[in-house]
Formats: sequence, C-alpha cells, structure tokens
Amino acid sequence: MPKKLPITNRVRELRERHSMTQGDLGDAIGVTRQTVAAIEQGAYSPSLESAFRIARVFKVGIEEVFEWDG
Amino acid sequence: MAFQEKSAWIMSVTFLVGILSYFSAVASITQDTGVMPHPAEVSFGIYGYILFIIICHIVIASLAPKDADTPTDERERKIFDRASHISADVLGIGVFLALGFYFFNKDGNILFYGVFFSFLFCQLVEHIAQIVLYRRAI
Repeated sequence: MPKKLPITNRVRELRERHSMTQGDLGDAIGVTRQTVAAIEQGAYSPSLESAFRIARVFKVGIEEVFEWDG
Repeated sequence: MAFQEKSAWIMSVTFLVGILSYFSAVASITQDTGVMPHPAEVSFGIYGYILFIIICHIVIASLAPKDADTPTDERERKIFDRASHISADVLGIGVFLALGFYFFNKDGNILFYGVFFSFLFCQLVEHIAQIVLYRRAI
C-alpha cells in the first residue's frame, strides 16, 4: 500500500459521477490510466496544470477536486 | 501495469542475469588461466544480450501496442528523473572505487571491469528504483 500524500482529492467520486473510466480521464488530461489510478489512491499529486485540467473536465473549481489535508 | 513498468521489470531481470553471467565468465577464465582476461576476449556475450533485450521489448510491445505507443506522462518523467539521480550516484561511487583500486594496483583490466561493472550495476539500480517508485507515493 503506497504512503499517502497530504493532498486529498475527489477525483474518483467526480469521475464516477461523470461515468468516465480512468482511461477516459487519462486521455482527457494527457496522462496514463495508471497515473489517474495513482492520483485517486492519493499516491501521486498531479502537477498544477493537470489539476486544472481535471477540474475543467468535471466543470468545477480546482478547490472542489483537491484539498490540502496535511 | 504500465508499459514502462513492464520494461523496467524486464530490464532488471535481464541486467541481473547479464551481470552474473558476464562476471561469472570473467571469474571462470581468470581461475582457469590465472590471468584476468583482456576485455575484448569476453565481449562475445554482449551482442547476444543486446539482441535478447530488443526481442523482449518487441514481445511486450506487441502484446500491448497501445500502451507501448503512449508517451511518458508527468508522473513517469518524475519517476525516471528520481531513478536516474539514484543511478548516477551509484555510478559515481563505483567509478571512484574502480579508480581508487587502479591507483593502488595499477591493473588496467581491473579498472576496465570495475568501471564496466559500475555502469551495468547502476543501470540495474535505475530499473529497480523505477519499479519501487512506480509502487509508492511520489
């Protein structure tokens, strides 16, 4: 089990709400399915650019997707 | 599993087998003849080894062509950067030790094998570091 990073996210919840697969989201923001999985597990904090891309895909603000939990 | 991670596994295993085979051959010749062989005398296996790695990559690429065509993303680049940094440290230490050994023994063959081993070992460390980093938070 990978250690958790201090940034939590709602990517899985929002992705499922939009009926998207990890592969779909990865294609939409330009990363691999494995990276989307790592983001959802809290094992990888995406770059600011990717974070904005994710928020844009879900049509919400970035603060609704990511939260500092350190 | 991402294509790059599969590739790292293959490279780790083949490098480990390659290092053990190559240096076993060097040790065996040294034991038989009493003299460490000139590097050119034990270069025969290297070409077959390179061919084997190419074939392995063609096989894993043909099993998942879409994954193989996918360019590395930001997380993978971060993983590769960190693994490369660790590998560079290992190479530096290995070369430093080989040079130190040469300084006291004045044996060019040992210098060659020391540097060559460091080069191979640092590659092994790099691929193992990639596998570890793929599986933990970065």
